Amino acid sequence: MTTFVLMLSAVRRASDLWDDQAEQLRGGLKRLTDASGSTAGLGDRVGPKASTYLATWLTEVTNLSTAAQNRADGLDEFTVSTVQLDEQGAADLRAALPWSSQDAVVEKTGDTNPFPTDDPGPSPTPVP
Amino acid sequence: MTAIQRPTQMPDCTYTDSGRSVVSGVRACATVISDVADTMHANSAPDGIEGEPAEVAQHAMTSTAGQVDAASAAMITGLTALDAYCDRMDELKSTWHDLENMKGALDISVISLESRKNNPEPSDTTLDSDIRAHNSKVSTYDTDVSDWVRHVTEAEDRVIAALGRADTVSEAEGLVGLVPHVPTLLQELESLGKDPLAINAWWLALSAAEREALKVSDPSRIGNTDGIPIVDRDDANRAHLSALLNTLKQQKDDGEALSDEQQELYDSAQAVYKGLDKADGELDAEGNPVPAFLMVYDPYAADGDGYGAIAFGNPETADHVSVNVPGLGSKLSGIDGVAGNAWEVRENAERQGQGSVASIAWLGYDAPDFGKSVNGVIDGLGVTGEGKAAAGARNLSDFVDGLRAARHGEEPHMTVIGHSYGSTTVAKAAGNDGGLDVDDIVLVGSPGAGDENPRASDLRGHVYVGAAGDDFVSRLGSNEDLSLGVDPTSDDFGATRFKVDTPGDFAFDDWDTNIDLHTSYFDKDSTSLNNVGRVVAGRGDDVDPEGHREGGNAGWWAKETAEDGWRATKAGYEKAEDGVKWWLKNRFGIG
Repeated sequence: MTTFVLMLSAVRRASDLWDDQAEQLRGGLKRLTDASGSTAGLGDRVGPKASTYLATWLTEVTNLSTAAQNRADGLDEFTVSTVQLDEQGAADLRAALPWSSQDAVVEKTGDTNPFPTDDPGPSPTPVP
Repeated sequence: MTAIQRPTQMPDCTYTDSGRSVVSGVRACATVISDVADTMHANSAPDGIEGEPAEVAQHAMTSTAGQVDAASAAMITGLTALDAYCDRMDELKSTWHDLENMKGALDISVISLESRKNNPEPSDTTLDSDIRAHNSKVSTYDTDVSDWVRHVTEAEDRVIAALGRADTVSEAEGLVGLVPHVPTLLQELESLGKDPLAINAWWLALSAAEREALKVSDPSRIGNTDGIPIVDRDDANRAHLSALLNTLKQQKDDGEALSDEQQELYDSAQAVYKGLDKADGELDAEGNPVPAFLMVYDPYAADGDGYGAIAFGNPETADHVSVNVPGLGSKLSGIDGVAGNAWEVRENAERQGQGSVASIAWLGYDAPDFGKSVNGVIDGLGVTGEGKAAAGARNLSDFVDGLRAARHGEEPHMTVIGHSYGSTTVAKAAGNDGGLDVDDIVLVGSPGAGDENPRASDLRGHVYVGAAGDDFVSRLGSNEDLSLGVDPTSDDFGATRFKVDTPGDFAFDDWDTNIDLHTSYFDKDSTSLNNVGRVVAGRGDDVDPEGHREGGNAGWWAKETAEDGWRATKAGYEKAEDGVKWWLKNRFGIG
């Protein structure tokens, strides 16, 4: 089985980033919810159509917000529960990180401690 | 005898002002979605990346970027249609009220004509012609009602069709490539520099969808660019304000503590809302609601002190426009106070009966801070000098140029009012080194008009000044070094001085009274406010005149020093910074 080491600081940054997005989206959701309470003011014909339109985007923004929060929470849980990854775990984790941080999850090349510090320094070069 | 026609029944108009809340809510959410899209794209797999396609497809920020792009496109599409619909319905609602009044008049006419017809009088020889005239009006009314119904239906059909194109996720994905390309539009705006006339012409040539896309994608840029019409600036700034405040509230609701910077943002957002709320439920002289516009909102400017401007009344259409420029210690978290002053100016000026008035609270420069003591103020001004006023003067000139560029009717009568250090800013803008050109200038509680402006004639516009005798800030002006220019109430300066109230006597150790003396110029029903209102309304010739100060201010400081006894002054002097001691000694021989 291939094993991997990861850069905790990159995971933490990603968690913060997802958490910020979730927070922003929840804030936007509030305004959209307020808006959906005022559709009657658009008139008898337009009001119901606007309600349908808003319902779609309330659901979508809720989904986006929930997904972002789940990713943040998942990364947080991950950092405290996992020290070694199998290939699937490594792939899942890479998927949740910014593209520029993909090399934070690299194949283990020796008998190194995966958590020497929170920030283990420069990223090791991925094994070809 | 000609039959009397009855007017057709008025159709219901179920559209109300609250429909606008839908537009502002969608815009605020679209602003958030746009921010999230930017973040997701910045952290996505780059276009054309070489690698495992499955890895790219699985990458969450890359796929989320696609989802938020679709949501953003749907919101811009819906928002554009809803905004246009509300604009049209506002016009049609007004027409509906006119028709309703017409219907009432025609109903009364029917009753009157039927009474004459049922009880004929031999002397009533005009009944038939009156009926024909009435019937002609009914025909016109009926046609107008029919037109009104058609216009409403057309407006409704348009918005319903647009919303129908954007009310499912799959449809929204198809809209992504159809929404305006914001980076290209921003490049166009960038190429226009700070030319407000060019910016105004460019903006007016954009499509409604392009304007909405810009407002939600870069609200700070659009809301704070001089030359963009006030309604669009207000839309963008309110969306920015709302998105920011809701995010901070969410953070608090989630139990996360706000940092000092975030708390300042939170406080300033609340202050802006309090400022805007001053117009809530208020009517102008014609009985119409007074609109409030957020013309500037940049909470990050001036190292976090923030910039803001709130207009009461529409400066693009008002007969008289005034701009209030505050002074020492002003920051965005206190803009509700500046807005209160601007509101009182508007109310008073409108009561002068010289036409409509728009009054703007403008905090668009980095005003100096000060310690809460006489020495603290002197020290603050001494350290700051005229530098911040000069920078503020440039911002003020740009802002007023933007106001003029966005007006397409007659030029208004324009007044700029500077209080405290704001008066130095105003004088420098209108003086020998500035570019501001307005009809009237009011300087109250002024510490000086800028070194380069020794006379009122150095300023463009008629200059009016107000200063309480014991307002110590207004006693700082002099020709000496370390000053902010001459005292504008002085005989040599030659401005028109008006009477103000004097709410107490200066004392070195009575800070509260000293502050009252310096900050009461806009108090409701005060002599000072009444004179400012006259100037703003174009009645500057009618201000209550006051004689100029003579002989410089050194005598006043010496008198106050003697009156207080050396006790207070000595204590204050001993506590003062070295720079202040030097200043007091050289300026007034104290120490």
